[in-house]
Formats: sequence, structure tokens, C-alpha cells
Amino acid sequence: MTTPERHRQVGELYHAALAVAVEDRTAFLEDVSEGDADLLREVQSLLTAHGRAGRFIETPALAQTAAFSLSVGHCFAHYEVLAPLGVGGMGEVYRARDGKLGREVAIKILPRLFSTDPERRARFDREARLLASLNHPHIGGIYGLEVMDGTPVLVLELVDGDTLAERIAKGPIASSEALNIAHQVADALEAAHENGIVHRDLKPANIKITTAGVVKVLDFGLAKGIADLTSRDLSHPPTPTVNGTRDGVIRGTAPYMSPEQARGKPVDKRTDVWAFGCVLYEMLTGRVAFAGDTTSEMIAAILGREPDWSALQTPASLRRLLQRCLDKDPRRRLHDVADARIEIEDVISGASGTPPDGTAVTARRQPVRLLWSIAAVVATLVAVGALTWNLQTARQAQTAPPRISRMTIASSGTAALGITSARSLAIMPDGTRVVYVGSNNQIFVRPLDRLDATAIYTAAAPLNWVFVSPDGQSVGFGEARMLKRVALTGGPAAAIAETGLAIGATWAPDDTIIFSTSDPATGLRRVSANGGDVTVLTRPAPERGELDHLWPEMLPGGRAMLFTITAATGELAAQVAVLDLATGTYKVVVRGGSHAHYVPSGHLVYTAEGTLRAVPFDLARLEAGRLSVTVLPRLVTTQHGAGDFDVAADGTLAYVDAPGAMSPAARTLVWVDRQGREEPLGAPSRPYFHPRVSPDGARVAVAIEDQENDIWVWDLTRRTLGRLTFGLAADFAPVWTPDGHRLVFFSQRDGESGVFWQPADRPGAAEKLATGAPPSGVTPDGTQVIFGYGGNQDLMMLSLDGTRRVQPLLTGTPAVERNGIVSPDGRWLAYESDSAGRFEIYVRPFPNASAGQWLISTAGGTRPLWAPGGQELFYVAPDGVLMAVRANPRGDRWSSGSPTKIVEGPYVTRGLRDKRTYDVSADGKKFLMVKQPANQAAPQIVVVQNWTEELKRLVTTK
Amino acid sequence: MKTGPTPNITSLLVAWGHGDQDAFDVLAPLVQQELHRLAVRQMAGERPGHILQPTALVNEAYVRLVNRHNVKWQNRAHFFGVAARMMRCILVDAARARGRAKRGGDALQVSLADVPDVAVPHTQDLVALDDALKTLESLDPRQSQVVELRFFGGLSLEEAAEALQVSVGTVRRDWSLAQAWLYRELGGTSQS
Repeated sequence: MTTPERHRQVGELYHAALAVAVEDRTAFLEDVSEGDADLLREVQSLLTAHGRAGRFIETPALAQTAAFSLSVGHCFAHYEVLAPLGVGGMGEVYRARDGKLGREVAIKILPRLFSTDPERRARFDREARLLASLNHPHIGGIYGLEVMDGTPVLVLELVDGDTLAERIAKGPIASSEALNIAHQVADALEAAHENGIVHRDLKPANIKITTAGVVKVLDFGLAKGIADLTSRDLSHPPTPTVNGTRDGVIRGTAPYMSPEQARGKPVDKRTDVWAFGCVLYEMLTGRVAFAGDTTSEMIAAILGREPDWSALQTPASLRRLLQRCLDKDPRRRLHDVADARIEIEDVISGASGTPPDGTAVTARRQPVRLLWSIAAVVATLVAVGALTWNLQTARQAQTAPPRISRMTIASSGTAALGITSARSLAIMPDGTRVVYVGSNNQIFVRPLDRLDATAIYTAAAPLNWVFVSPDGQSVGFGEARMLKRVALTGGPAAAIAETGLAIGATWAPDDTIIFSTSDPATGLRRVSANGGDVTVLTRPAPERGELDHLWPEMLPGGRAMLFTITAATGELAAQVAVLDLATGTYKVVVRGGSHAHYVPSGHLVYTAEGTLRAVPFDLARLEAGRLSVTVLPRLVTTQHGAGDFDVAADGTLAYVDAPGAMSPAARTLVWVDRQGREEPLGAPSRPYFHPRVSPDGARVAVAIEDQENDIWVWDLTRRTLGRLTFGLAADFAPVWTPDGHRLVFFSQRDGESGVFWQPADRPGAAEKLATGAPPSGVTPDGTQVIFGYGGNQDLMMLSLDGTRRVQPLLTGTPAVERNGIVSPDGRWLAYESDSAGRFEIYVRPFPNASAGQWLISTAGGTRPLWAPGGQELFYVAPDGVLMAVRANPRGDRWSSGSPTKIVEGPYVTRGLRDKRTYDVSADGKKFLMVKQPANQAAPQIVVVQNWTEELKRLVTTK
Repeated sequence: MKTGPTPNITSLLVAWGHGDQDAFDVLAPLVQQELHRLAVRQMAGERPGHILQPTALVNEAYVRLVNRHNVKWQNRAHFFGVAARMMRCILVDAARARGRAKRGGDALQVSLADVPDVAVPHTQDLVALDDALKTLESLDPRQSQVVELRFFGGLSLEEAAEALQVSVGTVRRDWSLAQAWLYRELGGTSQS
């Protein structure tokens, strides 16, 4: 039995082992467990559990019970859910990306429609449109209304910051700040009232304060519209004359409800005046104006009691204002919020500088409150001057941090940007000039305060990389196999060294240059900027899965440097490491990313999947935080992860923006017919591969090559993209069972690669069927899976009848046979083989594959697929074009026509783990293709000044 | 003098924050009552299938219960501790009741097996997790607390560190081990 002492011992070894590289752990544990086999087993089982646990219990229990909530990555219309933001009074709120406009928005899922009454819907639509027309600096914007599976979804302006409720909860608000906030709220209400819109549910939780101090009032007028729309009570259609409440049902938030609202009477703008009074009272006193332990007690207070006026230590004029706002009789209440605004302005400017109400101070003898009230008065007086100025300027420009500015560098002719090199631009350390490669192998310098660029060097061969010296006086670059430098002012270039094809270089403060080359054997090397011997800094360690060391970038101080360890298994396995130049040792700081650069705001930015991401980075300890945030959704990135960007020492960012560039993330799913007509499926852009249409044609299973590498299902009718498989390992190559109930796919989740399956309508629940390589087909009768084996060189068959029996189908040849697929009549097997030197398509009888063999393709071919009726066979030619061959079997003999081209275009058909990345519709007329958009718009340089401000906001550092 | 809706909770929190375990015993039913009311209202009522953010829920309870100006963050952290414990009781009790009632129309749907996108093995439920947590508590109380705060209370690593008054690194280590340990105990991987 385990004891606490034993548990502690196990824990220590567990943590120690986690710090050791995976492949060294067993040896490490054997070493330190000193022959204690039980201890060793215990720790190893925990490490195994750790490897498999994934996100086990990471989602809080209550959040898991949400049956309809959206998961991150969920897409509808052109929105993609990025993160849940919380639950508001009327629904769940998420941060989302608007794919069309490329901006982040908040989306609010409203309660499902209880009514399908078109008139009610139309009225809500009208209201939403009216609300969307409100455009005011202190009103949270409404961008639009979408309907997702019958649920209305509001698209709103994303406002970051605390709500006033959170702000109040943190502690007392200085009266100067309270007045400033109230002033902005009044301004918002005034604008809305002028447009005939009443908020109806104003409360601290609906008021947001951005980090820059701007107040935004949210959820304008929604209370009523939603109440109308979602009322369950179908027997009582809404009465147009009743506003805000229906049939005596009270809606709104109890403590801020006006007396007329609490009574279920019609409401108008004076209800907002009341709520405004409640909010202002709460800010000034720190307590709710009408409190009660229960809703009925609160309502009793609203209807019958006065707020505790003695708690209010403010100028008498402000107190009178509050009393007028909180008059229970709407006819005697302040009619216009503009009057409140004017009063507040007067208090702020000191025009109504009546001293604080003396009676209130003496009536109560609470030392704490008295002290605070004195402090508040002093603060008010002191702040008056500053605040007056603040209010004048704050309405347009907020004071606060340096302004972030973005500019694009437009250039044409030979000065146009040519993105032929791995990194085609660099920015001077002081952020004043951008150096870039022009379309004609020229290097240009463009001062940011000038409109034109000057060529400083013309190369004889394509340039590989540009970088600048720390003093900003020289530009380094790779030209063919030489590393060279040229002065910023132009003149002849000096050769530094013959380096091989230098792709990636950084100039250290000690006037040496550290560079990487295209030769995987070399790692990082160093040479003096004035030439001389090249020394070796690092060598990649293939035994640890390292392919190459690339993209060196100096860290400030010159003692350490960032670089990228690439892996044979692809871009996603790349890691960013930090190299201690004094000791020559390095450690990994970011996994799943490449080409990191330090930003003086205390971040690392790095590339991943065609985006730029940021993590906090501790420069003293050389440690990165774990939480990364995408800071640029689109960045030109090479296959090996080099990003076309640079960050100046002052934090200015320069990058190449190429709309629709060859990034895998830009892929879309399209139908293409035989005339080349294209029809998008409507699924969002993703790094798709292996799309497979379900047998009923209603869904598409597709692998997505992102960090998670999972299989997703696009529902063609509901137009939703949902994730089907989970887990840390890559899942791909889905194949539908003929009944459409299940998907067979490939995964490495069990430590070794294998064929799994799971229900197609339920995430999770995968079951391993066999060890082996990816599946390529299920027989038409649904009894056998055809899959690869022995390093994907042979074809095997797996019984789905419960025995899970695996038997050879095509094995024992010296050649590779793969992508086997059985014809719809179940009599023929098509596959590809390199037995004749290159991959060609062959057909054999099925299941007796040794009874004959016929060559189908004429000039190479891979990835065969049968037409649904079996009358044609499709495959991919070596140039990526989709071909078709007419099938004319006669008895036991195969015969086919000659291949013809059917689909040609910007579609991804090759690569992608050798599996088929296209499919055919059930009627055989359309082809499901993965489209890689061509690079249409000219690339341009974007410069972002004071970018660090944005990073600080997006990624918090400790 | 009454200065807030329920000032006694504030003083109880302060007392508990100073190590008064008796205060916890008085506090617990009050908090539980309030949380239960909130949970049932939110999960059963007006919005079917509605997401429930535990932190938002607890925040709401907190705002309702506590005279916020007299309580420092430290007490707030303690409040989260109480809330997480309560949340665990509410959810596990409901799960047990549901097990007995065999889907007897329980308002709180807590079986994780039916919910897509969950991070708990399908064969397990909250009851088993609760039992495993009790075993873990006997081996290392703090590791068990970390799970309680994070999984039942919805706290982040940082918030949990605050509540336990230890460093974030300590919480991270506790979490890593507890997660692996529970995963194994609940049948994710068998021992040896």
C-alpha cells in the first residue's frame, strides 16, 4: 500500500524524469531508482499516464456540462470561436474571429428561439438593425445578427477590460474616477435616447472600462427584443403597447430596476435615468442603492424605500442630481440624461463648487467612512484640474500608452518587394529604416520618413537572407554560396566567407555573424564580420530527432541566441531553443514553433502554421511562458518555418504580408466539376488534407494539419465544422464505413501507429483495430479494411466482424504497394506500386490478388479512387492533375481505356503523407478538392510602430 | 450594524482566513446553499443546455454574499477554496443521486459520459473521481486541493496558487502529478 512518504518519493522521481528528455528517461530512472523495481514501475506508469492524459480534467467540471456550448475552433458562418469569455445576463459570450473582415469580435449566443413566429423574428431583426446603426464611442457596437441552428447569435464589438461591476468589487472608486465614468455613460445614454433607443437593463455588469480608460456601455436595448423573441408563452402573443415586460413578468436585473419596471408597467428613457442614478450611487458609495437579500426584498426597497443618502459624501449638487434620478415617480424624475451629464460636467469643472453636504458628515460618526469621505473630497478637488483636461481630450484620443501605428510600404517596378529569399527584409535596430530585397535581386533601403526607396546593391544571383548590423551601418546578406556585407550607404559589397547556401544569419554585438545553411549536416556556424575562419557553434543531433539548426537570432546583450531545431517529422515538430554562447549548451524554450525573435516588451514571437505567435519570455532566466497567443494571423513563412519578418531593438515590427499566400492554413474545400467549375463548400480556411465525403453525401470527414492534427467533420447542411478526434497524437486518413456510421482512421495515439475507428457522430471514443499504416479503403460490404503495413510497403486486410483478424492482401514483393481500394462491385483492387521504377496505378482481382495484374496509368500515377458506380477509376498524375480511366472489365479480365485529364488547377493533390487528398461526389459528377489559393495580391511590407504596446495587451507577462 | 446583505459571512471568511476551522463549519452550509441555488437556477431553468462558468458562478455568489469592501483578496482566495469544495459536493452529490435514480429527471446533468468534448474517460464519472481524490488526499492533501480548486472551482493555476498561498510552480507540479495519478487510477492506464 502506498504511503504518503512513498507518494512523495514517487513524485520527486516523476518530476525529475519529466525534466529529462523522453528517450533518456528509462535509463535515468533505472539509474536513480537503485534497483527498486516497484518504485520504477510506479513512476513509469505515472509518466505513461502523463503522456496520455492530454487535457484530462482540465476543463472545469461545470463547464463540461454544457451540452450546446461551443468549443474553441468551432465555426459557423464566417466566424471561428477563439475562446469563451463568460456568461452574460442573456447568454454565453465568446471571443471569435470574423474571417471575412479579419477582425476579432465578441459573439453572444442568445437563448434558443422558442418561437418560430416570423413576425416576432422580423421585429427582432429590425431592432437588431436599429441597434447596429448606433455608432458611438461609448456604446459597444452591434455588428450583426446571425442564426446558427435556430439559435440567434449576436456579433458584437469586442471590448477588452473590466466591467464596472468587477471594478466596484475591487474596492472604492475615487469620486473623480466615478464622475469620469458616469460622464461617459451619460454620454452614451444620451446618444441612444436621441435615436429612440432605451437600454432597459443598465447596470455595472453592462458597463465596460477598457484598459485605456474608455467606457463602453454594452447590450443596448437587447433586453426587450430578446424577451419578445424567446418568450415561451405562445398562447399570449406580445402586446405591442407593453414594453420591456410582458404580462406582469418582470425582466431586468433586480437591484437596478426602476419602480415602473418592477411593477411591470411600460418603460421609457426615464427608466435608464433611474438605473443611471443607481449606478452612480453605487460608484460613489460602494454600495447598492436598493439592497435586499432576496429579489422580493430588493423590489420592496425599490418601491418603498429611499437609498441611504447619508452614505453619500459628495457635493450637494451631485446629491440633488442623484435624488432627482432616483425619484420613484417617473413624472417627477429627471427627464433627460443630458441634464445629468451637464450637472456632472459642472461638478468636474468646479462650477457648482458647493461644499460637501455637512449634515451628512455629522449625522454619522463612523471614523472609517469619515476618513474616506475626506479623502474623497480631497481627491476630487485635487483631481478637478487634471480631470477637466482629461475629459476634454479623452473624448477623442485617449491619453495612455504610445500610439500603435501601421503602415504599408508600397513600391513598384524594380523597387517592388521580391519574396524570393527566405527572409527578404530587415529593420534597423532604431526602427527608422527597412532594408528589403527588390524584385530584381537588388537590396533597397527605405527610410520610414521618406516615400522612396534607394537601391544600395545589385546582386548577380538570388539573395538568400538579409540582416543588419547592431550599429545599423551595414547590411549583411547571403548571395549564392557567399556571405557578404555592404554599407547602408551603398558601395561595393565585401565577401565575408564562402559559407555554402546561408539561409538565416544574425549579427552579434561582438561583430561576428552567426549563420545557418541549407546543409543539414552543418548546424550553426560563426565567422567574424570582417571575414576569416568559420567555426562550428552547434551540430544537430540526429539521435535526438534533430534535423537541422536554423534561423539564428541574437538576444539582447549578445550572451545568448535563439535558433530553431527542425525535425525530420515536419514543421510542427520544430522547436525554438536558446543557446548560451559562453558554454555552447542549448535548451528548448518553445515547442511547435520556428524562427523566434525577442521583442523588448518581454516576449518571444515565433512562427507556427503561417502565423506569428507570442509567448512571454524571461530574458534573465531565458525561460518562456507556456501560453502562446497568435499576434499575426498571416505571415509569409517558408517550408522550414522561417518567417519573413524582423523586429527592431525598439520593438518596431516589419513583416511581409501576402494576402492569399501559399500558407496551408489558407486551404479551402471546393467541389469541382469536369468543366472546371468550382463551388466552395463554405467551410472556413484550414490546413485541410484527406477529405472524404460520407456515403450519404451529407458530411465530409477531413484531417486538419494544425497543432492538434485531428479529424474534423464538416456538415454540409448545417454548415458546421466539428472536431471528431482528440488526443496529442496525429490522426489522419479517415475512411467512412459504407453505412456512414463510423470512420476508420490512422493514429499514433497508442504509442505505435495503428488503425482506429470510432462513431462518426460522437467525439472521443476511438477503438484501436490493428497495428499498421494508414487505411485506404473499406470493402463495399463493410467487412474488411484495406490498410498499409510494414512501413506502408504492403497491403493488409482487417476483418471488421469482431475477430479483428488481419491477413495479407498484397505482400512479399520488393516494391511498395499502397493506397489499395476495392471497386464498388467488390471484384477489383486498385493500388499504386513502384515495381516498375516509378509509381503507377495497377488493378488486380479481389480478394485473390495473385490472379492477375494490369497496369492502368500511362505516365505515372498515385492515389486511385473508384467512381461510385465503378465505371471509372481516378488517380493523380505526377504533375498533380486528376486523371480518369474508363473501366471495361470483361469477366475475369480487366480492360480499360486511356487516361484523360479531368481536374487541373490550384488544388493540393500530392504530398500529405502519400494519401489521397480528393474525393468524388455520390453521383460521380463532382470532385471534392482541397484548394490552395494562388498568390494573387502583390506582397507588401507592413511596418508596425510601438508594436510592443499591442503585444503587452495581447500577451500578459509576469 | 448591518452594512451589507450578509455581513456574518464576511467575518466568517476573515476568521477562517486566520485559521479558525469552526468558522468554516458555519460558513460552509451558507455558501453551499447559495451556490446550490445559483447552480440549480442556472442549469435547470430558463436556458436549457446553458454553459455554466464556475468562476462566473462563484463570482456571482461572492458578490451576493460578501460585503466586498471589508474583504481583502486573500479572503477572496479563501472564498474560492470554500466555493470549490461546495461545488464538488454539489456536483458529486448530484452524480450519486443520479446514479441511484437512473436518469430520474435530475436537474443537474453531471455524468460526463454523455457530453462531447470531455476530458474525463468515458467509463468514469464524478463519483469515481471523487473517490480517487479522497485517496489522493490521504497521500498528499495539497495535490488533492489543487484538483479541487481547478476542476471543481474552475480556478486557474495562478488563482489556485493564491488560494493555497504557494507558488505557481508548486501548483503546476502538484497539478501535473495529480492529473497523471488520477488518470491512472481512473483506468486511463493500468499500473505496470
